[in-house]
Amino acid sequence: MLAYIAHYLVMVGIYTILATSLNLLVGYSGIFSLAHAAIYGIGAYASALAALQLGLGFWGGLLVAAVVGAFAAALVAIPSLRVAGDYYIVASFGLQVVILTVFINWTSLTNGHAGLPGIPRPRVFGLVVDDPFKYVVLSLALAALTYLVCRRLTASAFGRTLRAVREDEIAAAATGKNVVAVKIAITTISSALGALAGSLYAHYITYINPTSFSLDESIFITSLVILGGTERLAGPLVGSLILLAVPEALKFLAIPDTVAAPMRQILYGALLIVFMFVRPEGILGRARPRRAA
Amino acid sequence: MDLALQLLATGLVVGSLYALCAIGWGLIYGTTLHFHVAHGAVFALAAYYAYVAQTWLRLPLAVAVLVAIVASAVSGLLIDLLLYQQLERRGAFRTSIFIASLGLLILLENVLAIVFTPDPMRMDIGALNTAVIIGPVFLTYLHILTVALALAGYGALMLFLKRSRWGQAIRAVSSAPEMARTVGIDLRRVHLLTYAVGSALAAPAGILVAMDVGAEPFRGTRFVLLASVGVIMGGIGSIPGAMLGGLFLGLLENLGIWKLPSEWQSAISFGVFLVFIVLRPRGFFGRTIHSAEI
Repeated sequence: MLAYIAHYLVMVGIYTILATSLNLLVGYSGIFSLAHAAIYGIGAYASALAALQLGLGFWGGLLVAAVVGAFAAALVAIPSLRVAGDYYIVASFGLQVVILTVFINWTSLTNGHAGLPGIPRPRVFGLVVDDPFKYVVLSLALAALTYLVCRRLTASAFGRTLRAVREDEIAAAATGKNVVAVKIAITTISSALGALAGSLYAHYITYINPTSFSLDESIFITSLVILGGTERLAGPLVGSLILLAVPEALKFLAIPDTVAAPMRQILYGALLIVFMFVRPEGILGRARPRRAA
Repeated sequence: MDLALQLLATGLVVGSLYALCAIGWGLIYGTTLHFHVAHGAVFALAAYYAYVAQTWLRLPLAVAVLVAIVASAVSGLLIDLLLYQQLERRGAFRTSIFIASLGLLILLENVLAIVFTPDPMRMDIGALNTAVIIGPVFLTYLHILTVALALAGYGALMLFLKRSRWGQAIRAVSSAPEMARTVGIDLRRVHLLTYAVGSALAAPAGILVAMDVGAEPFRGTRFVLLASVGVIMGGIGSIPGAMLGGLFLGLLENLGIWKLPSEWQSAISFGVFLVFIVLRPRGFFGRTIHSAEI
């Protein structure tokens, strides 16, 4: 039972990183991305390959993951964020599809559906993190670090510019802010952070394959952000604590697997709709002034 | 060369399906500015409506298809009436409408997966499955019907938008909503009509795919996102653009596998899309969308 709770907390840490980084886009900048699972996957594959093929350690893998993740996002952000916001929804979906295709089909690198086994456990300051309890510490520490980075970022002048861009691009541009550069920068930062979660995941499970990084996963991460509260940095933590407990709770009800998976998705879908009606700002969110009807 | 001709023909058929989705989605997006991803759910529902009408209610195929198209139009209308308009009444942001739409898409797809299982439900299409061989090209009557229906759907939509009073009201709302309201057009009713028409156009696409390879719950997501790619490529607000965009994507995907392995098919369209928006963000014929407009 304790090991079970430890596993749950490790996953909470990983998803808190994912959701916190996505919140920088969805909550603070008003940019909607459907590619966060792909970024998560890029982080996982990049650090797994760095460890397996280049023999890089945990920190090296983390760095590689962040750089590759940021690069992939920038590649898409630079063309699509130059134009209206909705283009990024489509472009990020495209990124999600292309990246998943790469994971599945570039078999010489990623081993396709079979995935990559035998990813080593991380060695941190000379200590091998090999059981779930030690991993809880690592996972939550990295989540806390991500939280602190995001807090510094959103409280800074750059954070205020982000909110200005979200509320009114023309006004922000009129005060001399480079709207496009700001949007590209935040997408890159968000993806670098999201890729860290992938690296953490790969070294924890020690095996990765493409199914963990599908569009459903992107939508799940989005639900975490929406549920917990956009524009509140603690929101993703609350969202992860609640939504990661749901599948575990469903396990206690005797529902066959073929029904349980769609049931979960139905629940996430329903949550998204209900929250838009009842509490669009999420559980922790502050109400924003609503648009005049 | 024979292979190229076959791929060209298949591309045209697939492109017709994308085009039907794209003109419906483009009409809705251009008029309401809702990023209506639940269009994919309407696409999936249409297939199951036809399947149920044929196999459970034992209706003849043509009648079943008509029933399914009407049911889909009503479904689209209800989505606007019961979901989007309620959210707008509460002063929701556009992002909220998109998120609710995404939620509805996931919800409906998975309900279909539970009710009908994720496996394809085949329909009995009788003689439509007969092969037609034109030189090196192999098609079925269903494929030819697909292209014909896409052209007919496009023609009917253009005629409706240009000639009928309601169509003109849609165009008015699409080009200047405030002005349309000023001259006494009821925006809510025009939105409902737009959803009904747009959904009625997605329905044949969903049904035709189901007639070919069976109804599946999760196919709509891919179609609606490709439709949005087609609309952006064609130019937001332009129906001919959306039509061309859809056809172009179908051809691109299929001609792409002439030279590239087929598993890269879906990557090709999005790759080209990214290059395209750098070179020509307003699409083939669209109005310019500035960063701050939406």
